Amino acid sequence: MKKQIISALLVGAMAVSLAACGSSGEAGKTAESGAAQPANVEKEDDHTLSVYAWDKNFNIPALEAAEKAYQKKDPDFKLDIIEQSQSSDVENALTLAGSSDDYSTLPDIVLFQDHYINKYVADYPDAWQDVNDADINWDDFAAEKISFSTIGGKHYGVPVDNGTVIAAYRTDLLKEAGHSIDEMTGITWDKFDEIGKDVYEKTGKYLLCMDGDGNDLPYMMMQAEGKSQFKDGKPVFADDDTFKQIIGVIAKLQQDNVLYLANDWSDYTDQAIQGDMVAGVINGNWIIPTIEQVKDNSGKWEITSMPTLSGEEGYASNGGSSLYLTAACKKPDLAKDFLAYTFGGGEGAQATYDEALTKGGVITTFTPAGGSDVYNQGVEFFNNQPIYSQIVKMGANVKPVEQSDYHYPAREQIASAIQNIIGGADVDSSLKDAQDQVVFQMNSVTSEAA
Amino acid sequence: MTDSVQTTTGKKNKSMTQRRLIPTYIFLVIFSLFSVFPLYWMITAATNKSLEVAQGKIWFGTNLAENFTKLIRDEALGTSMWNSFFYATVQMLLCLLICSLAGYGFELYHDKAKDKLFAFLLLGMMIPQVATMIPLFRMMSGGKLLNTVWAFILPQLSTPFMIMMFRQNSRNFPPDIMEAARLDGLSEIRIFFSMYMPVMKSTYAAAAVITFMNAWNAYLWPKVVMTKNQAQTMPMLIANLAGGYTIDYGELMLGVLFCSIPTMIIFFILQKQFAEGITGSVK
Repeated sequence: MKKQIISALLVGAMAVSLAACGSSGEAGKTAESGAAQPANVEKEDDHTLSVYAWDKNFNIPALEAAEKAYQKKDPDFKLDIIEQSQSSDVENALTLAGSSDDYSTLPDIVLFQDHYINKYVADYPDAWQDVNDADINWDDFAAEKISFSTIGGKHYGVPVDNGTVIAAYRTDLLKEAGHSIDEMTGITWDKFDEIGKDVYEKTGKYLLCMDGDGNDLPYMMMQAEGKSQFKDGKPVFADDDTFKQIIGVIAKLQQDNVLYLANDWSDYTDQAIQGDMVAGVINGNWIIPTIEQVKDNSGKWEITSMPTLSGEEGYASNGGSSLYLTAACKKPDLAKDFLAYTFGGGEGAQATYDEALTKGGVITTFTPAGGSDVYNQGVEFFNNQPIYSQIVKMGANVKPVEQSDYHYPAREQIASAIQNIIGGADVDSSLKDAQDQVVFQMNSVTSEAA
Repeated sequence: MTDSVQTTTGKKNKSMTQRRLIPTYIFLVIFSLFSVFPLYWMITAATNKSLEVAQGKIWFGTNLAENFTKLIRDEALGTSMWNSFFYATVQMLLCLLICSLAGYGFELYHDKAKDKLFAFLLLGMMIPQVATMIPLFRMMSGGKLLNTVWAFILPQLSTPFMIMMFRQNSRNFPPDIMEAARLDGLSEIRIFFSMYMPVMKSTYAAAAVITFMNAWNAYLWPKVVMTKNQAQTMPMLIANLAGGYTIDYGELMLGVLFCSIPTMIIFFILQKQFAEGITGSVK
């Protein structure tokens, strides 16, 4: 009797869950088929590739454009785009697969942040497959972009977007203060400060804004000078004169009410930019959709290059990602052909990049694509300036500088040093502290590994 | 005369007590407003444009239909709602059954060895989830269970907290009932189903609310084992809406609203039993 009841109980429990499975829609089917078959069932299909990507409004439309372009070559082709909430989700998936020593759970391709790829290739060398033999002319891409995905002389990734920095200004406010966009091109930071003071006095708006917490200005300003915050893998915040000068400029701009340092990222985008507090924004061109949110300001913005210490036009790049082939990919030939045909500059490249731009606002670093009609159209929001082709051209001028796995820890430490300096702390000792903190983090990782 | 004096004094006392309560009420009202405000803002934000939300508008807008259309177009809302509901329900049912059986056994078939085992079980509460994540992931991946309901529920089917809750509340279960049932010839398993379960209704309700909410709101573990779009849950959908360079706050808040509704319904239905169950009362 007891045995009967126990078995009835277990069967009941199973029945409840299976009944729910059976009556479900798509999800139930996944659950059932998942239990019965290998999880990566799509990978058996010769015309399907899976990819992890984030941002429904940016990267994912670009990937959809590539899928559509490749379907001209292979009508059965399908790109299974698995949406992630942010870039760190992909990094976590890699870490998890690496720590579990099971790369089979990864998709065929991942979109990966440029600043992190070096570290992940070094930490998990078995997680990747290089794309050296893909049919891609690497010289067609901006050298700076390719420098991230070229590791140990091998190409690991194919670029998607472009992080080229734009300096965007409100021409109406500049005019109100007695200046013009032409004056903003190829100027020194001192001149920028002078104009900024005029703008604040006349209009009450800041000529520049930045997230004070994740401050990207020092990195971008250094790159515009052709320099890095790192030398031979070590931070040089306290030792590099250019860097010290730059930090001095940032502190002065803030004290002169030319620069608004927001408390955090949402304060930066929602209050400073969309709250119409500023007359200028300097950041990677992915900031454009945020600027465009304020429809009332359509036609009033224009873009140009960054100021520098010497007054030459400054070019820099901030952020961006590329597509990388994982060890889980069992169809590397299909994957490489797909990447080469679309993002890599093959026959489908123009269609891919044109649609990626119109649907997602993704701008390429593939220089020939900048010549298309789509790229050369005037953009109404930016006073009919052909900003996209201009950004591609600016991107080709960005100088590759030494990169570090500690880019983001450095950014954090420098941001807090800047806050201290603005608060009255000594420049040299604040930068020395920041440098020591980063060195400490580097050493603690090295000793853990040892 | 005496009567009227007493009545006046009574009224006076009453009004004095009421007057003394005024600061308490003011205090409580202010704190209630603090608690309700985020919910109110979530609802109004769901009807506004992203920019309006960012600019701090806290009154109802006219963008609800557009936010809804965008949410449906951008994200698999139906699939995610169903997945979350399905996983959470299966987890709740199985977890209640297993944990209540365990709690019942530990308390009512009590002996020293079981006490030791229970103490050992409680140690499990000290192990952080992240520490078990990689071994569990390997198990799920090895067993080809990724993207199935089993990967979602297996690690949470029997939790020390739930077993402890059932065990504690089983102390209020009168042993006389068991004796009487045994005399009437009921088997031990029948006693559990026919006697224990109905008496412990409020504990089951409280446990159901806690388990369902935990399963519904779970993010980290599902994110690890549900690697396909078709297996996505509501918290994963919300995270996708909240990511990216430009966030549409109106659409995001509408998503959050959809995500909150089921847990609210479950809570409101079982509110009374939940309060009883948490305090461990048995009728």
